[in-house]
Amino acid sequence: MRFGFAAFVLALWYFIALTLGGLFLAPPHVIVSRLGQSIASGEFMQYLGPTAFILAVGAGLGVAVGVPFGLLIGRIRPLYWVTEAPINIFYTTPLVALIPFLLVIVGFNYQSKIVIVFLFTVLPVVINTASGVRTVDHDLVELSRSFCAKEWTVWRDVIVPGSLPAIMTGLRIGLIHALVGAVLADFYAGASGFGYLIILYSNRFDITGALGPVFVLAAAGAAVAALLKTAQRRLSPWQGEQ
Amino acid sequence: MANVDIKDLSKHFGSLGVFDDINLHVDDNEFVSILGPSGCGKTTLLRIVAGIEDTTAGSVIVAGEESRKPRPDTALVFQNFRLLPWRTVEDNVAYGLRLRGRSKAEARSLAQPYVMMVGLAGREKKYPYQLSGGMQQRVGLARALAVQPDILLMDEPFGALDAQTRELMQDELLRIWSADRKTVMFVTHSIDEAIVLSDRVVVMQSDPGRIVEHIPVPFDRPRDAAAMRADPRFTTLRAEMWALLRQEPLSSDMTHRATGE
Repeated sequence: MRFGFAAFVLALWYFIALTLGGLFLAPPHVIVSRLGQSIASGEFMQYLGPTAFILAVGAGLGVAVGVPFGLLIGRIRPLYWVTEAPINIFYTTPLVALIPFLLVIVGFNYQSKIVIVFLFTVLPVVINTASGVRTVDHDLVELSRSFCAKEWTVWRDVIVPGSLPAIMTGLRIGLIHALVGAVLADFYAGASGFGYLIILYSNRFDITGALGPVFVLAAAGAAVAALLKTAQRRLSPWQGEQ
Repeated sequence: MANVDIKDLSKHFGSLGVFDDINLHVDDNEFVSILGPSGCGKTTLLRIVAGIEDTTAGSVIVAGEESRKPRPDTALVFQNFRLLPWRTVEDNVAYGLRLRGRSKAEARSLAQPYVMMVGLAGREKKYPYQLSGGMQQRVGLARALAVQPDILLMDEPFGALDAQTRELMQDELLRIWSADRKTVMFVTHSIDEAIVLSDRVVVMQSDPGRIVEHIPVPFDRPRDAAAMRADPRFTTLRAEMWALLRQEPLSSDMTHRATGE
């Protein structure tokens, strides 16, 4: 089914590309060969490097802050009560709209890009982790207590493993948002990065050239999702085959 | 001395009173069942003894000490098993030992005889979702026994099992308890189960929750559940308890009639 659908999309793509002509949509093999040229000339890596860097730092910080923060607000009720509304408001605000302000405040530099990627990552991680903690089976917490468990042991044995599936979902969404955030940061803060490469090509109406990096981004997103799904299955064998 | 002394115990949830002034003494190595309809507070009573529920008034004295928190000399078996889904059978059985400070290897080796005792040898590496309900509760029972408690607290442990598995588990418990006697408080709403297992059955009624009768079960040990059920004394005990439990819906029926419904 999946392969059938992929083949159908590809066929449709070729049909449109061949009937409308290369200005609107280039056939996939042309895009791929242009991408190959771009990589061979070193242009691709030159633009990928900075984006990979802000992505690694921003998303890394987002996860490193988001998971512990989510665990805390999920477990400590007054903290959840205080932070719930601000987090939801922040999450529903289109972060894109905040990018210009961030650039003015932090400056047109890579630090502001890191902040943007961080913000895109951290919110879904926090929200999913906290909701995972809150849905941990309270009966199991009580079971641990009945055997005289201390609070930190309850965390280690029940709360963290119990919220692991939700944490992994948070990471999956967070990292995909991070990819989007990194490219958007390049769009706005300009002059370097993968997103800027897309803009460069687009401004020259070179759709074939612009679609190459877009392909790579889509593939990276799919890879992240698949990788985390596998990790989730490895880390939680108790859920059985799903 | 592993006895339990419950003195003038009251429990209210907000304005809702569960029971008032309950008094109950359970002797060292005595097997006592608490039998009653749902809502009489029998589970709440047990949870208070286990230290996982607060009291409103009165006290629980376990082994001579006033007790309000979970204690290392008691262990609780739950109706809904409560196994950690992310741990294997052996690690679930070893879990109580782990919480009481044993290392992983030590806890596993101490748990092994209890895995055998409940008949789960060969299933050590399975996860709970791979077990039937009866097997899951064997794990729950082994987990409680593994910490070698002086007092075993059991909250309708076989209530979620089908009838046949239930009787099998009763036989198992009889066998295990005969080999290693300890004080047991066993909450149930099954008359048969209470008679088969206990030295004494404490019958409760609801609205308000209270103890109405203590009925000794005069069968010798070791017991054979099947032979017991065929004994005329069993039938008499059963009828006696049934009459006590039945008073309740009847009397509330009569109040309805008296008020003209």
